[in-house]
Amino acid sequence: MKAAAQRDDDATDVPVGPAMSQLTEKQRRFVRAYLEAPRNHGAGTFACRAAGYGSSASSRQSLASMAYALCCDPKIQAAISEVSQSLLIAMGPLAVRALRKALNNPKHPAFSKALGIVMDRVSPVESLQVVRVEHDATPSFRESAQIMARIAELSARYAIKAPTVVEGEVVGRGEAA
Amino acid sequence: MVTSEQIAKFTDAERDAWMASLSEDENVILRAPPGCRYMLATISEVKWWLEQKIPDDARLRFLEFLERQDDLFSVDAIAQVDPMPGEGREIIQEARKLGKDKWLDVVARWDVFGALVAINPSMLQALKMPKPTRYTRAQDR
Repeated sequence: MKAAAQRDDDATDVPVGPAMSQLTEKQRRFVRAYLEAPRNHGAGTFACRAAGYGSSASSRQSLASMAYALCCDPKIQAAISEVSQSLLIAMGPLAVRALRKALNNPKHPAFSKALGIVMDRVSPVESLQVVRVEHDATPSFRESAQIMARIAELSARYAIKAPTVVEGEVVGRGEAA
Repeated sequence: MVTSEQIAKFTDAERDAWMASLSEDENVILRAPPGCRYMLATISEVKWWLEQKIPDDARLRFLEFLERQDDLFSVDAIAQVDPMPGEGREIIQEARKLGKDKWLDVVARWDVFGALVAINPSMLQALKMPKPTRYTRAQDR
């Protein structure tokens, strides 16, 4: 607990992002402790205790309730997201070191996987995909002709006198379609 | 012309006397099923529309509607029907204001259909023509 408090004191000097700056100091301590909790189970209780919520007599149950309420706060959620992002960036060198360690040892169980990861980034496999989209806007003359033939056939069968249309104007009746 | 309400109030004797007084044409109308009556009026109106300048897809739909009536009327009977004149269309349009469930019943009424036949006698000629049979339908196709 003392070590956590010491870390918090040190962390107060660390510049914080916009989401963290919206929080109180106690809430910031909660967010940092929540991400540094040693275990997933009970992380909220751990973070509440580390941040100074509750008292020495507070039960685990009441601390867990406080942690739940804090985690439901949108400001706290935004801050957790912000700090998680910066932690991920900070873990980049660790990942690179682990990768190098795996590559340096051909007997390492993850050697081939590490090799694949590096090769994918050094010389990625290129593939060419050709997507051809053709749009034919030409009217289907065959279909139109079939429709017109059908209209003519039915009009003749039922003795329909279709109007004669010239340039959009009806000029007479009496011609079968 | 006697209205449908008056006919409904006839006693049996009055109804018999009235039916005996009907001409041959009136008997044809009286014995025609209501479905045949309103369908003839509709066919006549559709044929009027087919004489107007309408898009080809609408024209085809109207013609296919006529083709679907082959269980009620033969091809010759449908060809016999003339397009509905303006007065008849006004009657149908007035009836249509009653809503989709009622207007066909109104058009099929004895007095209303009688008035339509007076305006467009070709519907009576179509009613008098032989009804289609399975054989004639096959021939028409």
